Amino acid sequence: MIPLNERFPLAGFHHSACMLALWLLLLPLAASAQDSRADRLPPLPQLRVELFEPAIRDTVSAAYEEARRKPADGEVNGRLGMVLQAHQQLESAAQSYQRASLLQPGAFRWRYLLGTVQAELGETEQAAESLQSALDRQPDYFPARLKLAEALFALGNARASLNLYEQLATEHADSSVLHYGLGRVHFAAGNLRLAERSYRRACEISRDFRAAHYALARIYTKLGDTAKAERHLALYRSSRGAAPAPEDPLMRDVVSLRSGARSHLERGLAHQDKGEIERAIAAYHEALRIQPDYVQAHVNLLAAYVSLSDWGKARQYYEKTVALHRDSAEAHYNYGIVLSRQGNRLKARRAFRKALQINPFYAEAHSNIGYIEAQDGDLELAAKHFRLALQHRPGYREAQYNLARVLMERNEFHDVIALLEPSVDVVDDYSPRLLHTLADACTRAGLFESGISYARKAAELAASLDQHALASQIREELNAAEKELSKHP
Amino acid sequence: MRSIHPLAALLTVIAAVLPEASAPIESAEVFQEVSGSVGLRFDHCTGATGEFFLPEIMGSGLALFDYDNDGDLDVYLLQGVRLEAARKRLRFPEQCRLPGGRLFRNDLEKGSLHFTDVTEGSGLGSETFEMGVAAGDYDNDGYTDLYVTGFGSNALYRNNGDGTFTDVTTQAGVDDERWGSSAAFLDYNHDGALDLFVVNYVDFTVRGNKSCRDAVGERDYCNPAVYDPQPDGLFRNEGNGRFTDVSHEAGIGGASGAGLGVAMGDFNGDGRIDVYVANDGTPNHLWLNQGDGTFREAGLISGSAYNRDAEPEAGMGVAIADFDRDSDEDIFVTNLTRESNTLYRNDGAADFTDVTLELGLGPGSIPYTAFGTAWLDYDNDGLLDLFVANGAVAIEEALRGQGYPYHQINMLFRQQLPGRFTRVGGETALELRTVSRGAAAGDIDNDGDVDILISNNNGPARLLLNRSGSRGHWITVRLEGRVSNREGLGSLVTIVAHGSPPWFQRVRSDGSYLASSDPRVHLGLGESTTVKEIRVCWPTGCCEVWENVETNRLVTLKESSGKRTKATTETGSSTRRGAPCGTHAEPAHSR
Repeated sequence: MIPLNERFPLAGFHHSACMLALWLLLLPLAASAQDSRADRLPPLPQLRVELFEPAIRDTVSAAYEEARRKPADGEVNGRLGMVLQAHQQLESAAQSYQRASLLQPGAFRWRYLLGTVQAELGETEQAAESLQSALDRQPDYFPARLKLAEALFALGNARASLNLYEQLATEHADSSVLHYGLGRVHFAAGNLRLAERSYRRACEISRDFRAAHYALARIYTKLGDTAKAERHLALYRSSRGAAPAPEDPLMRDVVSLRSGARSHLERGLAHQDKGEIERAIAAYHEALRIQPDYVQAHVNLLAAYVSLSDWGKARQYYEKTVALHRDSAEAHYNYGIVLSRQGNRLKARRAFRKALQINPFYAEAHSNIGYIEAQDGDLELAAKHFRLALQHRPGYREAQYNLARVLMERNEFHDVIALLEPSVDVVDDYSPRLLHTLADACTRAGLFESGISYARKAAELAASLDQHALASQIREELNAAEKELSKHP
Repeated sequence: MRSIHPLAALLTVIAAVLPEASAPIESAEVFQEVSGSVGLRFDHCTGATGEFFLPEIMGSGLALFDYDNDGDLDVYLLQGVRLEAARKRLRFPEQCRLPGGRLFRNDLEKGSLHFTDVTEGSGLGSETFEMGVAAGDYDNDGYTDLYVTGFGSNALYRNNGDGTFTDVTTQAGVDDERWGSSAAFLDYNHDGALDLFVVNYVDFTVRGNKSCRDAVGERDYCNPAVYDPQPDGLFRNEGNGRFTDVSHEAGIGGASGAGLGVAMGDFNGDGRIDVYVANDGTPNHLWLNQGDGTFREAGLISGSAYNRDAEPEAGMGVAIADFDRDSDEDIFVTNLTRESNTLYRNDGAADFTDVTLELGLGPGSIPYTAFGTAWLDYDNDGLLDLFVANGAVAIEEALRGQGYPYHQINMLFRQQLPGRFTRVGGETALELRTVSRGAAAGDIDNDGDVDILISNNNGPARLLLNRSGSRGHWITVRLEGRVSNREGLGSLVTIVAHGSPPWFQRVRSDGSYLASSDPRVHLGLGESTTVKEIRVCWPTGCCEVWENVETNRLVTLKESSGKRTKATTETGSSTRRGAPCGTHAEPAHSR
């Protein structure tokens, strides 16, 4: 490329002279723009870091000190915002992101993260502005566009929200969250058929999307299609999935900055929910490394080792827990489980009773005492504890099943029927066993038709829930009963 | 059957004509905080010892009720207590040394609004941590009684009619060892005697207290999710001073929830009293009355259990009214910060839609944790507005390091146009930063507009006197049941004025959070100068009409003194029963 001043030397000179003149002219303006930016720059947030837990204090303090050292550095201010957002200090995070946005006017991410924080704070109008401003700098960041569509809807700007969702739907047709959002806008506008289509698409993409199933059930109720409404309510009940959030690397960076004992505890719980016990244990240990007297981390470790049947470790964490908090009902309860599994019913009963002294409404403790009493042959006391468990936690299936078994032992068939019949429509892993017991009770109470009907239902349900051994057993019993009935109609 | 001449019916309206409402006030502010100047001095104590026991941050409530039948609203304010022997220096103020709630008599009849503390010798107040209160005349003796819930035990106080109360909990059979929150008197079996619905929270115990920390690791109150939710209770009034716990047989005991707010309504328009319970972090419950002594839980199927995203919210308080005047009862639930409050519009027959965002009630409420709430037409323009009392339950970021970092402002949303709410700004009394919990609405100075009394956690009670004066016409209706319960709780009042759709309001003292409000029905009539008709459908099933009633006054309507009329439901169809007024209807539930 030929430099301009070489091709047009005179002009080049002239150009330089003009540029200088222009620079001199613009200098005050530039200074004024800087001043104006400085005027608009919010102060650094005031933080009471001395009240933070040491691990979090260190993380936040490091980012804070850096920002104090380099107050005009957009990156550093933005980084402080991220650390604060990770620890839910949203107002301070917003302040930091505002600084970062002003100091780095071209940066997308500070405006985007500012928008997410403002939305969470309920500053929806500002959130929409920040997200729009971010998208002006990087128009294709899907999570930002999605959040803007949500914010516009929350602001009552349904038309703009709808337009944005529809535009996104052409580009991200496989996003269930997007279709769900679109469904919400249609529903609010009273377009039930369009809403139904969008929600249905969301369910097709993410079969486990609870909210979308619920929304569909609501639509079908309003459309008078009870069967479909019931079906989606059932799917809603059996689904565990939250809204499947789109990939958001910027937000992932924020979450990765979380520190502190609680964040590890929560991570451990998430692992435990997924059955990843070893990973849960590692997370709880990490929590204890930060905060050695964290009672809940000890209790969770005790529970985790119980699920691994590691009685030695479980006992160790029981002792540690009660040394810190002797009135931890959960610790005594979990230790009762350990003793019970080891066959020490006497001590197990004592541990469960300790849990009940601390919390008389502890349904699981009542249920386990009931179980021990039943094993020891005191059916009356067992029934009493199972009933108490059910009183404190209605619908507690394990207690329901065990109480039914105890009542069967006592030939109280009508009581079993009264206990189990109200919940025959509940579907869960316990349902086939409970229906089987109910069938048994009906038959033994002389209610053969009901008994056979419940037994058939139990067999079907057991098969559909992959409880094949139980299904076969019930079918065999059914065949035998039907043969018997045909002999003696 | 001989019909009653409209004039004769009108004569039975006992009209307590009030002085002309004063001219609109000069100040732009409608509400004025006057508690100190009218003698309503009460400080709530949490009894906090630094152990962060959950009940400390949840209480306490209040009642507006006329205990001495002198025509004005008296006040009962509930008190906390230290939950454990003091091992540490206490943080609560000196006034905390007086245990138990306080009863304040309204001496309005002496010429101006003034309250006198008449607790001593009244028999009210206990040393448990008092939480919520329901006011109702359970024994139909003409004097309003109180049921007070608490952490550990509840209490029923019978009003003796001489300024004293007797604790009759044991003989009435209404105690409950669980942690009770809100309660409601209602006649679910339509037998003329008020039954009792008691909401229970979680299985927290002092000994089993858990230690929780917030996102930066500072010790704070636990999220209630760390405890197990509890089932609620229903006590049937046997009419002889005793109640029977029918929770199990009625089905109420068949579901758990971390219950905090409760209110009755007839959500499916079948003429039976249903119950709505706001649960904290667990699905809200809608108990539909089956008419045979049982209830069916229909929160999920009705769309009132969750918000629009199928998420259970932290339901605290509840307010029920027909805000859109389409003849059915809608539900407003207050929730936690980072959630919005939620307005469920009843689309008829208990089919609800979350319309929070569409109606302008969404984003503005997200920063606040809301508890007490009430529908009220504060400016008498004929449209119901919403009051919301806020106060955090977890450390407020901006207040970290301060003595009690849970303060927030309260809010009033005006229904400016039908179905569009706007937050009312510039009201100093609303923007006082407090940790508000209970809120009760009622015309405390009997001047024709609705005032608000707020109970604040770890702080003084606040009386927000409405000074809107005669901005619009109004009418206040007080019912006197003869066969139905004495205060007519649960009755449906329909007011028809010329040139306006009818107003429906249920006679209630329930709703809000831990609170009991003025049972009189107050309606702003806007520009309507006369009421063509007041129709009352009593809980026992009969309906009657009073015609041509003048506005800007309090009227007392006695059961069976109006013109009998066909009983219709809110949706216009005939009710299942049409018992003549003044005779006992058969109870729906046979004992």
